[in-house]
Amino acid sequence: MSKSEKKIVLKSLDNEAFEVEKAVALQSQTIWVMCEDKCVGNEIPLENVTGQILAKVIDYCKKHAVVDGDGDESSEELKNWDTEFTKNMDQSTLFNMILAANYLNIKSLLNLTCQAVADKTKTIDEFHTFLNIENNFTPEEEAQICQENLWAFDD
Amino acid sequence: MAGRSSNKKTIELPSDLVIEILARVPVKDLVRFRCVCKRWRLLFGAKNFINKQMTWAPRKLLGLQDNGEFPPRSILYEKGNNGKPKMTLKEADLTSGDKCLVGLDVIGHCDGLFCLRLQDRTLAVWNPLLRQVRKVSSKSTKPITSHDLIGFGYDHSIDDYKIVIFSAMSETIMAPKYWSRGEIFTVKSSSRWSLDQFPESIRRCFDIRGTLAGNKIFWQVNNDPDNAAEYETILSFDLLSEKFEYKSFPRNLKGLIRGLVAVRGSLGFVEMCMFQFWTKIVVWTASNDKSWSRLCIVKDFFDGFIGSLRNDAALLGTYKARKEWKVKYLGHEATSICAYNFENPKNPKFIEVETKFKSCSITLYDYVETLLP
Repeated sequence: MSKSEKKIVLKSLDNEAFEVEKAVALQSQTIWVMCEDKCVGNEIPLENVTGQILAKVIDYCKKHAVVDGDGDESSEELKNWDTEFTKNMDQSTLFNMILAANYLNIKSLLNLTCQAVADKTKTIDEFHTFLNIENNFTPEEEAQICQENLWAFDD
Repeated sequence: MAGRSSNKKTIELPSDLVIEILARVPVKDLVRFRCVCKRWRLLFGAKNFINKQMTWAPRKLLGLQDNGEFPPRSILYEKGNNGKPKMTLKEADLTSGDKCLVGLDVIGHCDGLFCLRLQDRTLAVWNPLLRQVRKVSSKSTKPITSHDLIGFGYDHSIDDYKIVIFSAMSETIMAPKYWSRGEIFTVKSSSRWSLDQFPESIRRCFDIRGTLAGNKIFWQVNNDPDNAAEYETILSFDLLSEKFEYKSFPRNLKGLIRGLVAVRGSLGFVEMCMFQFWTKIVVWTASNDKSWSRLCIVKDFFDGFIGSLRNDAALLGTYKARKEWKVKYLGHEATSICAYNFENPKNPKFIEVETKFKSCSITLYDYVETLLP
């Protein structure tokens, strides 16, 4: 295999190009299928992902391509790296990461980002805002349901 | 206000991704989120969502006093600030209507549900996280004696939980025991039927509560009238076919204390070999129906005993720490909780768990957080 075949170029929505190792990119099932079908050349356009998000996704894939398959110590290290990776992301970045992980079909990244949102969102108001959900209960209904589940509201 | 809404771009997530997020939210938070909107309230009761939630839910510990005289306590097992696992104890809220449920027997547990026999000898299913107790049948059962076999598990072919109770015919200690009555109770459909096939001539079982692994419940029993050790065997009951089978122990066992455990969904077996100054624990798993393989050996398990705690990743027990040994001194004859992580069986890691309770009479159960009613 020549050197050029090992590399692949990913192009974001805003036309930013990223050259990455094939092994890194193929963690995405979507890219894997595209490569298998040979429907694309060496350059893969990703129309749903911005450059800013794609850069982060590639960081994640690079880290996981290197460490996967190693022993005990590295899996611990990888877990810590994952925690750090999502720790300082704001809600909109996380949501974009979820959308990207879903589109690119990277299961472990989807799990990591969904878990991060679940961990960070603690109050009902936060969920209303972030997920843009409309409360369709009448005030009486809402009060009654809250009353039924009162124990879950302490501490 | 207008400025805020134009600044803040809300990103619309498709509903399947919202469900992915919600499936990773702790059950207690989900209960609060029932009042977010009508769709969510329905969603949290839907079978698909409940199953999805269970695959991501953390495992928790529940401690119950063995003699059942005290209210059950829930035990939180988590990483403390210093990175060490920590256990805290608090009283579990176990009420059914206005009655506090004490003096109960745990028949078994499966997924996040505990099957209980209440003081009035009726059966109930308890979800400790939702604080719900549901009676299975209003009829009371026979008193459970130390010769009975009991168990609790899930039958996916009928999508229902089954309670299995086999009662011994003879109540006297000297007479041979034969099972005269086998009964199955189902939880969701509230039905009850008798079984015509019984395990024959079992003289003694070591723990009347079966160990659930996969579709089968296992008991450690002895077929010999004199309880000779070579007649010890394992009896299994298949929840789907409702048939019994015998299964042999791993060969060349040396340990005096032995117990069945569930290891990663299959049957495991723990033997504890005691020498003059140290103890060794060997953990076996049944790789298939016939053979056993050694999962790990834990050396230097000091003067302790294996608790009935069953955890996929860790074998927990209590041990007595002694000053002159290399385990951290905890005071003379102090009992502490320790854990062995055998995710990496070649090198099981010893974890000492910080805890404030020192009673050995608490049985620890590991269970999964669930929304199952």
